[in-house]
Amino acid sequence: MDASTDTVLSQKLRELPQIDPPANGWQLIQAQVALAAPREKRRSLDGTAWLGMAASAVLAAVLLTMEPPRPAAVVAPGQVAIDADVLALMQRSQALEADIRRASTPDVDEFRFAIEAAIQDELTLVDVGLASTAKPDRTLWAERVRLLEELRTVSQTDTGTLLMQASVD
Amino acid sequence: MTASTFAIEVPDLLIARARRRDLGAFEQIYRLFNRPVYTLALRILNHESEAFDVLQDTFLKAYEQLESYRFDAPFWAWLRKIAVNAALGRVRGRRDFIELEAIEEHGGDDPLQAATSAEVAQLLQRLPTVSRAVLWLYHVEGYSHEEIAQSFERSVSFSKSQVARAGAKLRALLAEDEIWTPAPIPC
Repeated sequence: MDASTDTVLSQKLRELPQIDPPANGWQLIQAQVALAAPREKRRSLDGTAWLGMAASAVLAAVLLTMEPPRPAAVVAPGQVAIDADVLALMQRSQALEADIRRASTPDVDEFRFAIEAAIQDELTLVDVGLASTAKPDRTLWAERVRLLEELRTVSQTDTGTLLMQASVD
Repeated sequence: MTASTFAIEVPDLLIARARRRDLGAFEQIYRLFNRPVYTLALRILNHESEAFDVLQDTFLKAYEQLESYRFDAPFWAWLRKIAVNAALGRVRGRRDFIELEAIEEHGGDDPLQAATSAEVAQLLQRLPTVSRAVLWLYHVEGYSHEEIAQSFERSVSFSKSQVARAGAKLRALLAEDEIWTPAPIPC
């Protein structure tokens, strides 16, 4: 068989399907890029980068200080009745936010910042969903609680442990 | 000849955004190329964990070196070069440079004609790492013998003989009907 014209083998090898890498590939790269970012920023930090970071910080602050969507209104007379389990989720949500506010520190490293920003992005989506529903949605409130618990865990975990978890996941 | 699986056109604007350290843009590039990079690494190294490392190494290096990309060649070719270098770096690290001996081929029907993809994938795993890498770069990625020789820091005749012998070995294994049951690996 002439290797240079071995079209059968070429075809057979090319027909092999592509393979998906593990799903956490991007998260690991993102985390490592975030770790490398401070060095790069020291070299050249332009106004746009500062603007982006400031915007993210403001968004984070707003998310952590804002009231959960409509929790007070739902218990008022004449308003939509709320199931007991949804009310419990709302209260849990408020308690978690208080915990996170207490645990927050001004000095956040890049890796932690990236993780918290990702969770806060998801929280924003949930809050948009909650704000657009007339009746409190149990699934969305449960998701809000789950994300806040995740955020609280991150805020209470040292960066070294977070890095180890990221490399294992 | 079908183009490489890497041959995906990337808009210059997306590359420019990634060069400005826009992580969203770089994530889009990752989503476009993560399968070709991982597939190349896994087919060459036959080891999931090492292939995943190659995937990470490739994109981290690409992110670091994006500013050196000059737009004068396709982006995919630039990225593929990084991926191939990362994979071959691990091939060299294995230090199992077993080279296949010449195998006498018999005439008649080509047993590969009827082989399934699963069989071909299994047979590929049974080749020595270097032969597998040479075979993959030549037949799938369309590397020339000169490019392979350069990548391995060997002669052109090394590339030619490995391509020929690896092909013959695959056919011999298939003809022996000794499809080995390997560790689970997607085909």
